[in-house]
Amino acid sequence: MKFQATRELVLRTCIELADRGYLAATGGNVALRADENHFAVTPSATDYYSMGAADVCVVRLSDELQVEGERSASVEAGLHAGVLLARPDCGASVHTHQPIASGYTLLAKPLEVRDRSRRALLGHSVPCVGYAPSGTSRLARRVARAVKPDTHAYLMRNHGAVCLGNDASEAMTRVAALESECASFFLTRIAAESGTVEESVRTLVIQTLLSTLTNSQARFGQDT
Amino acid sequence: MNSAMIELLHEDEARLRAGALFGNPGDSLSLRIPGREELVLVTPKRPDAATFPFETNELEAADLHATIYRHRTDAGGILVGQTPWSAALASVGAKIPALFDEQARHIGSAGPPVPKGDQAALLRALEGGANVAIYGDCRICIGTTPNRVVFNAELFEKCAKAFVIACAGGGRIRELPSWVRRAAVARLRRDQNRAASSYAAGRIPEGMDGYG
Repeated sequence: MKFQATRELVLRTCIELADRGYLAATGGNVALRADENHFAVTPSATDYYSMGAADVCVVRLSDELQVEGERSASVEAGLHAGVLLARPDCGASVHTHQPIASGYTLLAKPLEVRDRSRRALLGHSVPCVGYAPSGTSRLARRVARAVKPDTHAYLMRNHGAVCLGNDASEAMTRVAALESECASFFLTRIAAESGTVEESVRTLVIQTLLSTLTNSQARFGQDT
Repeated sequence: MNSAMIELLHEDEARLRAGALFGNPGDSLSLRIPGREELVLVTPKRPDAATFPFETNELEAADLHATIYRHRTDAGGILVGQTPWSAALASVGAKIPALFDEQARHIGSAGPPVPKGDQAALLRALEGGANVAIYGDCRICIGTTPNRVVFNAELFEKCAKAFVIACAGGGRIRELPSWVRRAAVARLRRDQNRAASSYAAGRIPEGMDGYG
């Protein structure tokens, strides 16, 4: 099997993301640069827990031609290709449906990163690209146009996020940092708002957001 | 057929338990037995799955599932139960709007919460092909296949969490454009029609486990 190590790493990364609740059902996908001209990417519409390394596809960067893999490549392969071409320094592009950041995308605005350590990971501001349907070239173009050298995470309105890294591990760290920064944003908003929801709901939301921040701090040492 | 369906049911149960989406005392999970007017059902109180007819059942959970299967001939699996986010959604009181592509595509247009015990209102809420209804403080989740009911439960949990958090934070929440919602619902209905035909012919429908 060509690019076996990279394909196995795609698989492990997907399972870790799914275990941590950053993928929903079969939504979300992972792309890792396999060599100068190719990347390995999650297959389309496949359950992460039943996927094998041979199912992981290898796609040529220049024209998105699939050269390896027993299933069709993710419909977001074009999105990953655009990002990896725009950021030759990055080896990993991780697209998540992480719940708190997904909730933030409903507000359709960029996220100012206030926490100093998370700013170092994500950049000063995380852009939110306008809506385009999942898997379309329009969405891929919108994200590629937004890519900047000093910004390592991107939000997509009514959809999810894309986080970049030198490797899968760094991209995963940024996924967690983005979730924390969004949690921090909502905590601040909820403290300033009153009466938007019942007290029991407010308590559930606050506990969830605080737990996200605590877990992230324990794992990555970010400020809260 | 029953033993194969029971095996699939327990696979679903294990995955839902692992994701904390099943296991409360009031929860129940079932699968349709293709080609027959029967279902297999498991509850935390009755961990050994049993077969029930679609006719009236003395067991309340089986009766609710059977009622839904009779009205939704496309339904291959049903999950009933409470999670903190389904209860929160019931407290918010409004219907969850179409927020994400995969939600519109696989869950459809969910109605406002329905009071528990009002089965007529529940069936009305599911009439248009919605795969989720809030029933009291529970969510009822439908899928066309054994895998799809699990995926829909996972998907709905994420959507409910994202929506409730955004609601609690205040501010304007953007929905999907209407043309996207219409296209997604049309594709969902096509899947549901195909699933209903497949079950009537005694087969679990194929090709419904992904996004497309």
